[in-house]
Amino acid sequence: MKVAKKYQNALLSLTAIVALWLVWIAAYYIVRNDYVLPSFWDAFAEMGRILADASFWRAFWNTFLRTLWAFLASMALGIAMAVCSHLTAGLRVFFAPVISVVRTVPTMAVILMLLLWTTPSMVPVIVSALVLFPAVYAAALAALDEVGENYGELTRAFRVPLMRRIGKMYLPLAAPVMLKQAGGIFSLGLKVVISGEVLASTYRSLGGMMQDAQMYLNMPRLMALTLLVLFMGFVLEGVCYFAYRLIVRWRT
Amino acid sequence: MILRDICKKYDKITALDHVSLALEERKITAILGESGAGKTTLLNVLAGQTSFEGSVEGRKVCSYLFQSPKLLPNLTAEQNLKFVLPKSVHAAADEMLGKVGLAGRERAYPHELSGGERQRVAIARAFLYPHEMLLMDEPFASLDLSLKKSLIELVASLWEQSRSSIVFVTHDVREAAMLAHRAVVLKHGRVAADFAVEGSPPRGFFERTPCEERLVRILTEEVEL
Repeated sequence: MKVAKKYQNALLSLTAIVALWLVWIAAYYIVRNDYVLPSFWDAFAEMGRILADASFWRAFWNTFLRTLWAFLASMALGIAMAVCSHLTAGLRVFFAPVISVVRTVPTMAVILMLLLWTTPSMVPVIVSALVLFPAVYAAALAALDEVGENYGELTRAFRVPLMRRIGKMYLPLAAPVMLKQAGGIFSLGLKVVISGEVLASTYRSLGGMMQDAQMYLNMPRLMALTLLVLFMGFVLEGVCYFAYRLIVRWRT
Repeated sequence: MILRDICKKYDKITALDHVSLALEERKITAILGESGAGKTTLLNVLAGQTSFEGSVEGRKVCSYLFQSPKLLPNLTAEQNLKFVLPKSVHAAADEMLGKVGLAGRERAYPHELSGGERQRVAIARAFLYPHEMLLMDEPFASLDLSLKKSLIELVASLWEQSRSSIVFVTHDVREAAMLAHRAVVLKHGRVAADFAVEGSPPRGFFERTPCEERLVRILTEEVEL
């Protein structure tokens, strides 16, 4: 029964993807303008050419590394601040307006300022980390609060030392929640990094390649790169989900 | 441990109203009452976990047994014990798990244990934690009759070995009749009755004892306090 359900879910997902593909094909025939919407087959053919190009893989690797750095920085800072906020009510209140400012400040304004302060290579990393950090902080704090609610009485009653609480209770029990959301956070980070690369004209980047394609009105190339980024996002989400299943073996 | 004139209010609700008690060492004291009688509040006062008016003399280092086992799901049975224990007592964890009937199950995670087994781990944890007084907050409340009987017998046997002071809160007269040396009944935040129970625990679970009848009468009567 469980296996049948698994196949049913996979079939439903595949149906959704096929439906989107059919919408693209239908839209192409309705629009009939390759500069607005290229055909799927042209984009697919361009994808093949891109994958055979060594410069694409260099750009792909650089963009992936920037996304990874932004992800790790936001996770480290977000989780550290969430632990401090959970353990100290005063810090939670102190951090609240800071998080609000970071969440609300326009991304474009940040990018334009960073272009003056740092290199085009660093701009996408910093802006992505700033976009991801409030989401990571909120998710981590909610997870820690839930752990505290369930087991706070136990640790207070038995006077469990702080480091033991953090290392054996808070972080391991908050980890499943964070790992489950990691895929989505990583994908969002990728999107923001590429936006940053486009605006900063970052050398040897997927965003830079997309910008070039747009400048030369090479719509098939632009669509092909978009599809490849989508595929990259799916793979990253899959890797995070696999890591979640591997690490959280103690859950039923 | 002596409690004198303990009062505790939550907003307009009086949880404890001039309660005075002298808890005997090395005995099991049951605190009984209906919901809202002040039982858990009294336990929190003993534990020092809540503010109150009045005085407590001879405060003890306490261990706990909660109504639900509160086992960390990411730790095995053995690791759950070690999580709260000082390192000096870690070596005794496996032996204690054997005493509570979980020999061979030390490496099992909570989701691999039955409800009764999880509560056994919690009982092992409570008894192994270095303490002068063990506080139990309705530890047998959510258990079926046969499991309740076996766990009460387990607690009684562990008490025989440790002889620590135990205070446990319950609303089940049968648990008090089976396990306690002394029964204290709370009604509306005041002590309605306080008497010694005859015989040694564990007493019969399925027999109706005089203590049980007396407790039922006290709890169901409208008494002017």
